[in-house]
Order: sequence, then structure tokens, then C-alpha cells
Amino acid sequence: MEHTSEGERNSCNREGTPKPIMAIKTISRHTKKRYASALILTAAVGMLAVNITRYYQEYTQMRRKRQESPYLFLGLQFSGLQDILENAETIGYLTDKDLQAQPNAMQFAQAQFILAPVILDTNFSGHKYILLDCSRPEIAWAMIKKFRFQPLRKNQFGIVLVRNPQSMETAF
Amino acid sequence: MNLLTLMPFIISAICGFCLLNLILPSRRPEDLPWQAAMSVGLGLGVSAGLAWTSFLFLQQFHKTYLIGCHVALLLSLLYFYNKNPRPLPRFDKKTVFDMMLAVLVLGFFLTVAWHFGQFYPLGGWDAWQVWNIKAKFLFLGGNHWKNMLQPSLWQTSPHYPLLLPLINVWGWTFQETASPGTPFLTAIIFTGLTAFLLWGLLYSLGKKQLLSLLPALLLLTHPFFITLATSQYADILFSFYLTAALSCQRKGLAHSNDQGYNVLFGVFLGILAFSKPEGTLLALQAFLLTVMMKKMLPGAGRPGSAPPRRAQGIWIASFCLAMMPTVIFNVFYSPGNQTFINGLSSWDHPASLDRLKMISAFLLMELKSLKWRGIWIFILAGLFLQSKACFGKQYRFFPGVLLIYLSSVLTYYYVNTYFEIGWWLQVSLHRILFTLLPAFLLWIFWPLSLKEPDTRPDEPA
Repeated sequence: MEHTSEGERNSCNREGTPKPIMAIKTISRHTKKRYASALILTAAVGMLAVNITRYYQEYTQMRRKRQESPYLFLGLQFSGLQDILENAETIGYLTDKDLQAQPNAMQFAQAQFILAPVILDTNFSGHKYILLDCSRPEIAWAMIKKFRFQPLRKNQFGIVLVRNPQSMETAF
Repeated sequence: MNLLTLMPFIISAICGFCLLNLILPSRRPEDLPWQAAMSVGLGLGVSAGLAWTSFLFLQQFHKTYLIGCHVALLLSLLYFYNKNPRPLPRFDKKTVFDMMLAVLVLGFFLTVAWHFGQFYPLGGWDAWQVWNIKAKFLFLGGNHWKNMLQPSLWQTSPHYPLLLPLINVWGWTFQETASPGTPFLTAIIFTGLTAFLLWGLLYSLGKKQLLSLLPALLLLTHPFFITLATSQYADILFSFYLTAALSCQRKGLAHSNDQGYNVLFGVFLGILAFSKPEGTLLALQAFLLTVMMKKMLPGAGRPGSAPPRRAQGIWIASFCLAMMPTVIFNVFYSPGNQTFINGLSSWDHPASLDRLKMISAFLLMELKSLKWRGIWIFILAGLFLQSKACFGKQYRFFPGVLLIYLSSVLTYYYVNTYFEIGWWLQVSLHRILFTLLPAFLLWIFWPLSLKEPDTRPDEPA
């Protein structure tokens, strides 16, 4: 007795000639994952190559820029006064500049950082120490005369630290 | 840069390593790199916490107290470590070679990042106006350090938590002055740790070297990422602690009997909360999400089941302990957000529909912006291509936390009408995306790094 399998029987027609099998191409889940992984990895390697090129360009560009104009921190103008202000918590800040203008506001913020933990107060009148940040030395001297301040130190950037004899802190 | 500058970081790294060894018993050779990265992060978090106690108990920064605390901690950790010594694992040649290669490659790009960051030695605008100024107040202010919390200094965001300034203060402990080199070193260390953590974690999953190195290299060679990472902002700390917390959560699901991951997950979330107000928000959201989705918590007896009460208790206790500095700061010290107007109730500054449109448009513009060099498009495409794996049961926590957090931040942009929205988005949205970048890369590359995609090979034998 001849035994044929279920599949073989189905694949033959009545005349016994083999019936063509319609193969449906399916991609297994595992293969799909492999394709996805390969795609992600290829994209990542491509991005890495672009990143490195761009990084090199930006680095060279920045290096050239720094050689032409070195890093400038406006607040450094306020250095060299910390020893006098050692025990001060808040000092006055007097200027003829417009603090609403962005460069001046930036300079004030950077001065605050350099002088921290001393706080700069634009409402200057009540404080023992006052920092004069004027656009010209003559203006600073005019202010000193006007308010009868006692000059304590002037640093190399023209910032003047004065004592305010009228303040409550000085009086007591 | 001298030994005194490096000393605090070395001490923190040793403390962190001993602590992590007590918490996590896993001693597979391939676990060593990511555990080393986590150790340094953990150690610096603990050091910041100890520095905070100096201000809480002594009302000022006290060098001797802080060094004494660290010596006591180190000695007690070494005592416990010696009591229960764990021999170093045996490394095979391939692992040693892979580790050396990774250290060389990542080290090279980190050195380039160092030079790149040196173009701005004092960091970006917010670095000195928000973070480094606080560190100076803490370090030099004596018992007047609280002056930095005055509402008049609203530009310095006095309500921001103090993790980064406290790490910098600890970094200055062995120096006489508040040198600008230390905040820069902190930024470089966390940049390196983030990259190293990404590589180490992915490598530990399937030992696929190229695949594990790719995300770390994508970060270290990305000019915009490096610019932000070395800008001395707290954002890089946020990135690191978020990535560490997520990895502990996901690793813990596989190592279901290991409570150490529970502890670390809670601790890293707690430290994250102390980094930025956004960190606090994300940590609380992650906490609530984990409480609601108990199956997300490592420590279940069998995969997919809810963890026993003990595991939940351990996790909640470690989270609460690590959250203590944030809670104390917010309850007793923070002057509150000085730059908030509720646009939903304000007549002068209402939250309009145009504002919402602008936020949505800006987000799309930002994602495809040239400065990101297509990395967000790559991430979105990667998530789409492996959506089944990335949104599967094992990774449900990732989209849960990241998407809820992103939506909350966008809602905050809408509700708070204090700032002009165009300017605000321009100066801050890229930083929000920056903080999430390593976590997104981890999410995509995790399923790819596993040995067999359909099994759980990171399950211990």
C-alpha cells in the first residue's frame, strides 16, 4: 500500500500531475526586527560620521575665533576689591549708565557674580560701601564730590569703591 | 588642575563604589563599567547631601565638618566592605579588550570635549548667573549664605535646588578660593559619566561592543550636546541621574529578586529631584507612576507580577530618604518661584490659544532644527521602527515617565505667562530636550543590545 502524506495528496490533481504551489513570501517577525536593527545601526553610524566632521569644523572655527579675540568676561572689571568688602553683605551700586540697556545689564549681572557673596544694590544711599561704575573718571569724581563720599580704592578698570559717611552703617 | 582639585571627586568616587557594592551584589565582569559610572554619580550625590547638612546643622560651610563626615563615611563603608568582601570577577580577554577600547575611545572624545568647553571657561550665561553664583554664596558667604535666597536676586532663580552648587562647594573644599576650574571639572565629569553609563549599561546586556558604543559616541561627538554639557548648567546632572534611575528600574525588572535595584532606583530619583525644579517634577511623577503601576517596580517574585510589600517599602523608603534634601530646601529655604504668573487666572497676562499654537510649532521646529543634526528625527524613526519592543511590557516605564514629563513641561510653558513665550522657548526648550536625550537613546538601544530579542537575557542565571 502506497502511503502519501496530506501535503502530497493536496498538491496533486486527479491526473496525478503535480499542482504548482503558490508560495506567499512572508517576512518573519525576527527578520523584521533584524531589518529594523540594521537600519537603525546604519543611520547611527552615518550620523556619527557627520557628527565627527561637523565637530571638527566647529572646533577649528572656535579655536580660530578665540585666537583672534580672547574670551572676555565683563565682570572681571570688578575684581580686586574683594579684600575691603570681606565683611560686607550688601553694598550700593551707583552708575551713570542705563541699566535697561542689554550690555550694561549684562555687566551688572556679571559684576554681581564676581563680587558674590556681596550683594549689589542699585538703591545705594543707605549702604556703607558704594561701588561707582561710571563711563568717565570725571563723572565718578563729580559723584564723589556731590555725595561727599570717601574714596577707598580705584581698580585698573576705573571702578571706584567709596565709603558713604551718611549711611546708618557708618554712623553706628 | 592639581590633586587638590581632584581629591574631593576621588573621595566621592570611592565612597560611591563602596556604597554601590553594598547595595548591589551583582559581580559579573561586564557589570563593572556601568556600576563604576553609577558609583561616581552616587558618591557625588551623597557628598552634596553631606555638604547640605553642614548648612543645616552649622548654618554655614564648615570645611573640617565636611571632611570629617566623608572620612567617617569612608571608614564605615570600608569596614562593612571588608566584613563581607566580594572578590573581583574574572575577566575574559574579550571583555578586557572591549573595556580598554571603550575607555580609550570615550576618553579621547572626552578630552576633545574638555578642549571644546575651554572656549567658555566660566560656562554659559546661566552657569554663573544661576548656579556658580550660588556655589560662591555657599562657599564664601559664611553664615550669610541665605542672602542668595533673597527675592531681589530673582534673576539667579533663588528657588532652584542646590545639588550642583553643593557638588561644586565640595569640589572647592581642599582649595582656598572658589576657582572656576572646579565647576568646569564637574561638568566634564558628568558628561563623561553619562556617556560611560550608556556604554557600560548596553554592553552589560549583550556584550555587543559597537552597538553599545554608538549612543555614547553619538553624544560625545555632537557639537551642540557638548556645548550644553560643558556649559556648567545643572542639565547634565539631570541627564545623568535620569538615565541612571531609568536603567536601575529596567535592570531591576530583569533581576527580579535583587532589591538593590529598588534602592538605587529610589536614590537616583531622589538625587534627580535636588538637581532642578524640573527634576523634582519628574521624580514625583515617576514616583506616582510607580506607585500606580506596581508591576513596574523591580522586586517581583516572578516576571510581570506585582512586587511584595517589602520590595515596595524598600523602594519608597530609599526614595523618601534621598528626597529629604529637596523637601527641606523647598519647605524651609526656597523663597518660591519669583517668575510665575498663572495665565489661566490672570487678566493682564492670559494664556491664549496663540501661546499654545506657538509652543506646539516651536517644539516641532526644535526637533528638526539643524543644531540637533537630525538626532531627534533618528530617535523618532528608531522608536517607530521598533515600536513593538520599545512600547512593550518591559519598557512601559520609559514612555510613561518621559512623555508625561514632556507634556507637563509644555503645559507649564502654557500656564506660566511671566515670560514672553517666543524668547522663553528660544532660551530653554533646547535644554529640556538636551536633558532627555541620553534617556531616549538608552530606550532605543536597549532592545537592540539584548542577546536574544524575544527572551530576557539580562536575567541572572
